[in-house]
Amino acid sequence: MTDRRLQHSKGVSLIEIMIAIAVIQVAIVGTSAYRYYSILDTHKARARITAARITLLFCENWRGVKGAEDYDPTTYSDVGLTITTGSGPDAPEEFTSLGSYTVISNGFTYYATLSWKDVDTELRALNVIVAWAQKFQGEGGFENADKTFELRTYAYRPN
Amino acid sequence: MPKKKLTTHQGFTITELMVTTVISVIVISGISVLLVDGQRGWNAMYNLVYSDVVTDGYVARKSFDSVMRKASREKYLLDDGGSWIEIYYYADDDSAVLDRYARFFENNGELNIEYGRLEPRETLDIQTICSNVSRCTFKAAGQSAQMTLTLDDGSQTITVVSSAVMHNK
Repeated sequence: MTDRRLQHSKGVSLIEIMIAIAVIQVAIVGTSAYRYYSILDTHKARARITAARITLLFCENWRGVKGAEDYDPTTYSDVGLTITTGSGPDAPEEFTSLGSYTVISNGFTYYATLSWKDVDTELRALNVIVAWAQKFQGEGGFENADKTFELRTYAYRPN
Repeated sequence: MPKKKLTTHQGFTITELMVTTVISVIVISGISVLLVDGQRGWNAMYNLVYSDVVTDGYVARKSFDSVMRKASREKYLLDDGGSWIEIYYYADDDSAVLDRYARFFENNGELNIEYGRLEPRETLDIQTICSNVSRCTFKAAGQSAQMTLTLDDGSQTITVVSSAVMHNK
């Protein structure tokens, strides 16, 4: 076995260093992007889930009073769930708008529009659209809302 | 085997060692910060989905929905302050009259549900649905009931709102 040592080592060239730095940068940027989109997607998912729950909440409450035209969602506002009258998306065609409301829940702001349409002599369709500003992280009001969740349910018409 | 040993070799200067050490410390510090920050971010995301208050809120909402779905729309009792709600339901398909009740109430930071028999009134079971309850109120809208539940474990606070229509006769 021979123990051989170079007397004149060349060291590392500039090209090798630059390649190493480039590889490390790619790894760091990749990791950062992964983390950024993980957090962003989690935020988006939470916003969508909350929107779905608010939509369901309105549908169930309104259906509980048989789709009454004097239903007022603001009376069900509570600590942690703020509901006030405000602006919201347009109601579907042929539907009569009940009103638009601003809902704040778990730090997210939503804009809801409730509308109804009599399907026949006994049945009434209740439509709820909830919009929120996903791209702008909930900032800027209804004008920045770019996502919607819509749910429609049916109730026997009030006597 | 012949072994050749150099009697004179240069080794490293103190300057080279210091520069190498400084560079190593910087690289290791950077990697450590990335790892710690990544772990912290992961924990934050995990807690948003799987923490105790989040899963407790999920269980509370499912329990409220399932009990309300089988409740009779004919009658229910609601506390004036909204601190509890009591609904009535049929024990099984053979029941001709409403013979069971379920009562949601908050006590000492816990959300409980009490199941019982009617005529004569008798408590059958009391189950704790979730803890860390800082506030719980119930409201009614015609034939539907709404629960607004705020859970706080000291590090995270969430508000769970659930509403369900009472379907049965």
